Amino acid sequence: MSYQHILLVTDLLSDADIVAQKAKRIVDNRPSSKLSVLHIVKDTMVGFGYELVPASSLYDEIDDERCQEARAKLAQFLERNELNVVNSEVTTAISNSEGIVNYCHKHEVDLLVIGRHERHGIAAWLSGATADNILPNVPCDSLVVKLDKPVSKKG
Amino acid sequence: MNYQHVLLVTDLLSDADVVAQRAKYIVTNHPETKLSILHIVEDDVVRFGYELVPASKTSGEVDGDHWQKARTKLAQFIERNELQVANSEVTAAISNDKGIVNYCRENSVDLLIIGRHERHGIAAWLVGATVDNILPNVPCDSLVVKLDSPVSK
Repeated sequence: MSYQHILLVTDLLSDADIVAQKAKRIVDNRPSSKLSVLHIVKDTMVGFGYELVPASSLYDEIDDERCQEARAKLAQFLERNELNVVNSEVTTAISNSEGIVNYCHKHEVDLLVIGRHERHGIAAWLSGATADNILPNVPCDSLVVKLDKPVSKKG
Repeated sequence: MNYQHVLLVTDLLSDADVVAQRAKYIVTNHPETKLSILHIVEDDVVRFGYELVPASKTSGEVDGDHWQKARTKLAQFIERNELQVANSEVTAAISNDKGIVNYCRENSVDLLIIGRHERHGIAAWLVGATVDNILPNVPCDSLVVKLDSPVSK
């Protein structure tokens, strides 16, 4: 058996390169496995009567600027890590886990590679790691890469 | 970068072979990566004064019936899947996650391979999957292999 379609999910923060190297190790020497990269931009939510709706459903261009920025960063990230990808994508979604699980279903991913920052105790309980939320829902295997403490966005 | 020590954790149930095949896939073409296998026997817990201690600690008994059975099953499992293992072990621990995390720390494992049965909703909340409990505590990367609904023993 062999993985056909591997998806690397990245937050593009400073320690994302570690995860990228692990993904590279899995696809190296295996020409049958193709690699895709996904970065999720969270939707801007607006209150609409009693409901919260993604702002993008009201104004099309609202998230364009953030997506552009993310795309540029993603391109740098791919170059820096010398990844050969068949598909790199920046999408908007209501939450990270929602976006990832949808992508896996749509593109028949069979291995998901994702980083997990160290979170313990009450921090884990309040804002759990994305990896913990998606595990019960992803339709495929997942490689969870251990990272250190969460880094700041500026890093 | 590369993994040096890969640990395959198995419950030896009927769908464990799926997980074994994934482990094999990870180590093939990487001769420097060694593979170990761990099976946890959940220990009987006895009360000892105010404390709860694992029964095998007090009696020193590691050759009981269920130990022998687990060892034979593990040997069959390795042979059936044609795995080249550096070390295969059956250990007792109070809980699965405790045993796994301890082993990882003691043997400087850098990749843990484990299966995860499908559990949703209230079932997940009552008896969560072992993986969900160990993820925050393992000191290394982990490959979680998706399995179908839990199978019976």
